[in-house]
Amino acid sequence: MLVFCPTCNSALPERFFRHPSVQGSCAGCATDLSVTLFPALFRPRGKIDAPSLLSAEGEASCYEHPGKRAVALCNKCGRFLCALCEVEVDAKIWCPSCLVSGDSGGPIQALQKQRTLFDSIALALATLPFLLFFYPSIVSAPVVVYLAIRYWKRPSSIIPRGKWRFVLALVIVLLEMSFIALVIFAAVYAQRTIGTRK
Amino acid sequence: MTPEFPYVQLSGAFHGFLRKASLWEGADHILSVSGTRFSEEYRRFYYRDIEALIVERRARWGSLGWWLVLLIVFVISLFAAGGNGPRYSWIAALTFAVVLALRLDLTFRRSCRCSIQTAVSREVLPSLIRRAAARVVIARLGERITAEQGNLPEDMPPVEEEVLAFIQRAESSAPSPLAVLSEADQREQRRRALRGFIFVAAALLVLLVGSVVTFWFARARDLPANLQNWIAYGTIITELALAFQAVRYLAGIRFVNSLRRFMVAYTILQAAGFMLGASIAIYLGALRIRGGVDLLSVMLYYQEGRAALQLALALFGLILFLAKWKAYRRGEPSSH
Repeated sequence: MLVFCPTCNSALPERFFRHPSVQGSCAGCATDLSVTLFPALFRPRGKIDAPSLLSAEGEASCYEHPGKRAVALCNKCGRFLCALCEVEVDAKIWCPSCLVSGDSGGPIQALQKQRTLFDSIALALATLPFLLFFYPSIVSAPVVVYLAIRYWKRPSSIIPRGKWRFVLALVIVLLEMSFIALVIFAAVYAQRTIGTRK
Repeated sequence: MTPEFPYVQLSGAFHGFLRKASLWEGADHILSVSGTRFSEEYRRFYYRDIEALIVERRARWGSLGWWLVLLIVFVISLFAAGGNGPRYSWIAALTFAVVLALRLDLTFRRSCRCSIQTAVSREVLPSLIRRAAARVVIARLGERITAEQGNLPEDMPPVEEEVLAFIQRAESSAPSPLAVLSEADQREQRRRALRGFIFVAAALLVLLVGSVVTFWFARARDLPANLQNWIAYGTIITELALAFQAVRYLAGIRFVNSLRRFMVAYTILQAAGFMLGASIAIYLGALRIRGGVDLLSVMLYYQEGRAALQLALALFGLILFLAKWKAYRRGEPSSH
């Protein structure tokens, strides 16, 4: 039941606990703080009663820990789980093996911590070469096409995000590639014409 | 709140040049999204677990891109106004000063850092950097958390004896952060810090001198071509060596986190400057063939703009240096 100053990490003084919402200064670094407290801070920490966790004769025991009493079933594989092994995600109980193996019918969104935004990468690769006088787009354009095809169906972000970046990137690189093809064609045509005249 | 997308965005999103952050309200948790333009990281805080929301008043500079845009607009407007007489230059400078004052007011007076504490962690909410937005978000979250956890009673629950004793002990002793280290470690810590500060001071000096040289170089058209080339090569090599040393040195020094970030930003800007400079030169070369642009005057503006940016960065670094020097004198081993 302690609240620490985010700047200097010292425990905030007792006056911060007299009201649910308090403004004041940290005693350690004098930073102005505004602290809002909630009942979870004052909730007594549960003490584990070790004997109650052990399974008695005739009781179901945990699949991973045979000596411990089973308290739940895995919603995926149906194994008995003790209090240590049960993991509640999205109102379902999972065993650690099912979570680790990812065999849970697709990635569980509530567990995802990071996603790569391939559409933004594609758009950056399609537009930034303009700043470097166009030449890098000879390499980057095929990469953009690959990214768009490879990651079109992969979910991009948890928060709402359309496919317009992929579409725009594809349109830009198609124009770039057409331009490059036109330049090459013109160069070859000019060379042949000059060669014929000579 | 649609069934397909179970989040509602809360106030106070941060949109930087490279980094971004936002905060979303869900049915039983809040989702903090942060990351770069190319990837996102997610943190979930369940209403039932949140113990405290802490807002600290703190200067937040916001996006580096915003400051760069401000500076570039200023330099361009100054040059554009300069062509119509000195009076217009003054108007441009005055407008810039007003915008800068407003921005500094936002940075120092209206900014904050918000943290969220649970039983197992304390995390910063990177999207909440303005106090007005923080007030709105905390009011909204307070309702959701109260609905989940219930209200705190009028007479607050008593602080446990052992917690009270811990707080009182911490208040009475309050040692200097360096005091927890051994004598030898303290000496080493101070030596490293001093070395870092001497290096950063030298680097800032080079930046200041570099900006003056760049200004002079931009104006000195009558110098022999060979000398001009040697000055250009020398400047480039010095700046690259400086940037390399800055990253190498400052990576190991915990006293100067802000300065380290500043030097890294400077290095990136220099690299971008070289690349953009080369592209601009090629574009201008192409334009000159068509006879549309006075290449020399445009390159002069480019050089002067670069020097102005260098000068501004040096001054910014100097302010950081002075701020961190005070922290060093107080004996704080790190800004975190």
